[in-house]
Amino acid sequence: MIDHSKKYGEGCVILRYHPFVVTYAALPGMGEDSFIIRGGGRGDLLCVADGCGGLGSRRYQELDQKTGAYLASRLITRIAGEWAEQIVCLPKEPDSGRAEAELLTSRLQETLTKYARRNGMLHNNPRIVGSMQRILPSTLCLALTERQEENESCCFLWAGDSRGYQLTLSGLHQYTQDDLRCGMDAFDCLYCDSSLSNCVSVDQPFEIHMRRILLTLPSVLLCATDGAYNCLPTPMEFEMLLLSTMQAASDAETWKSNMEKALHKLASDDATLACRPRGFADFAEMKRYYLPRLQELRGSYILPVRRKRQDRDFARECWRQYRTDYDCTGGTCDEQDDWRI
Amino acid sequence: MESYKLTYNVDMVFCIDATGSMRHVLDFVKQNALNLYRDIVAEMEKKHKVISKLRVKVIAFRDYIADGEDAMLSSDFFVLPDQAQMFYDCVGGINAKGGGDIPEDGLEALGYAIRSDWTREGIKKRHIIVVWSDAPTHELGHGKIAPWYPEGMAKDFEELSLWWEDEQLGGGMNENAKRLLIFAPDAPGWNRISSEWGQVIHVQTVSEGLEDVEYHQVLDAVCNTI
Repeated sequence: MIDHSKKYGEGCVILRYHPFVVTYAALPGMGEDSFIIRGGGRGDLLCVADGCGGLGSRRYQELDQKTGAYLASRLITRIAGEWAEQIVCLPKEPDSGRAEAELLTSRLQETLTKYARRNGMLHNNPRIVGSMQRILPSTLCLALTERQEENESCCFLWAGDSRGYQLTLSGLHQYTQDDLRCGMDAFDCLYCDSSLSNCVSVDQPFEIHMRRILLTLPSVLLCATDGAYNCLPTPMEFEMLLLSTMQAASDAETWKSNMEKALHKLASDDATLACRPRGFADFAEMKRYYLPRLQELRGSYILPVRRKRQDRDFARECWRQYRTDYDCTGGTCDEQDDWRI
Repeated sequence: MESYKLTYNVDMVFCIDATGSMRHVLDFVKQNALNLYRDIVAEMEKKHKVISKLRVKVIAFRDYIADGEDAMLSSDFFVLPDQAQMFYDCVGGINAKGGGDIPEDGLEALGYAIRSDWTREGIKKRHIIVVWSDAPTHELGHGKIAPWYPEGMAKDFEELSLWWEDEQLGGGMNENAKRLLIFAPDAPGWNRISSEWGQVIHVQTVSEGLEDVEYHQVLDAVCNTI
C-alpha cells in the first residue's frame, strides 16, 4: 500500500498552480486521514479521506495493529486515484455523471471487499460487535478538474462530511452537502458532533454524490476533512485561517507552513486540507487579489464575532448573513454548467 | 489566531448486574467500572477533547420477582473528581446476591439508564451507558407482578427501542452524544440490542478480560465521533 503521507508529506516542493496538502495527525504516526493529489495535464485531482475512528476502531493484528479507519482512508484514496486516472473527460450531463459515480462506488465496494476478505476481516468472529463497528469505514471527497480553453470545470465526488470548497474574491464557497444525521448547517454542526448518515464501508451500502461546476478563475480549490474545518468556532473563521495565513506568507511554501502551524495549534482531530490555487501569475499576485476579501471578512464578520466571543447567538446571526454567499451546496439542476446527482 | 477548543460534558451511567451468578466476576467488573471512567477521560484528553464536567451514576440490577426492593438500586450522578470517594464507595458497596432464574431484569436497568437526568449543559456532550451482565435478559415486564416493579417503564422491547432511538420519547439522551457499551454474552436481549439499535458496541464477554488491543478498540468507539 502506498503511504501517501510520506510521499507528499513535509518538505515537498510546491510548484506554482500545483496542488499541495496540509496535514495534521492528532496522534503522530496514527493519523486516520489520507489524501492523494495530482497536478498537470488536462486537469488536477485533489482527494481526501477521513477514516471513521469510532466505527473503524477495530485493530488488525496481522496488519501491524492498524485500525480499520487507518486502513480504509488509505485504500479509498488509492482506489479513487486509480478511478480518476481513467477519466478521459468529465461527465457533461447528469446521466453520464451518475454512471461515473456508480463506477467509483462499485470499484470501492469490490476492492474494499476483496481486501477485507484477503485479510480475514469478513470471517473473523470478533468478540466486539454492534452498530458502532464497521469494516473499513471512511469518508471521501475528491475534486477532479478539466481545463478548457478559457475556463475550467470541476466535479466533486463525496461521501460523508469531507468537503469541497472554492475560495474566490467573494469568499469561501462550500459545494458538497455533508452526510450528517443531524441535518444541521455548517455553523450548527460545529457544535453537535453529529454521526454520519453515509460513508464508504464494506458492510453497509453507501452512496457517492457528485456535483459538477464551472470554476471561477482565479481561485483556490480545496478539499478538507472535518478536522480542518471543525476546529474553528465559525465557518467564517475557516476562511479567515486560509486568508490570514496566506497574507502572512511570502511564498506558497510559507503559506503551507503557516496553515500547518495553525492546524497544529487548533485541531483536535486528524486534519487534511488539499489546496490548488489557479489563475495567478505568482504568489504575490494571489496575495494582492485576496487582500480586499480579507479586509471585508475581518471587518464584517471576524472582529464583530470575536468581540462577543461567548455569544453564540450573535455568531449565528453573522453566519446567516455570511451563509448567503458561502453555501453553494444547493446547486442548480437545470443549468448546464452546474448540476448534482 | 485565537486559541479555541470545544469542551465536552460527559455523563456515564454504569448498569451492573449484581445477582448471585456474578459473584466470581463482580470484583473484576467493579474494577473495570472504576478503570473505565478514568480510561475514557484519558482517551478523550489524549485526543485533545477537553472535558469540562464529568458525572457518573451507578445502577445495580437484579430480578424484580426474586429480589423485591433490592432488584433495582440507583445512585444520583456523582460529579468527578469532587465526589470520587462517594462513587468508589457506591461501586464498592455492590454485593452479588439473589437473581432467581438465569435471565435478569437488564432491560429495566437500561430503561432507567436511558431516562437518567442527562446533562444538557456544555457545547459538546457524551452520554454513555455501560452495562455489565453475565446473563440474558427477561422480556420487559416479566417482573410486573412484583409490587416493586416501576410504573411508567417501557411496556415492551419496541417501546424501549423508541426510548433509545428517539430523543423526544426517551430520557433526553443527546442523539449525537449517546453511546451504549454492553459487556454481556451473546444472549437474548443483549444480542437483539446490538443488532437492532444504533450507536451500540457489544463486547460479548463479561468474565474474561479484554486484550489490550480490544480494550482500545472499545475506548476509540466510545470516544471518537462516528
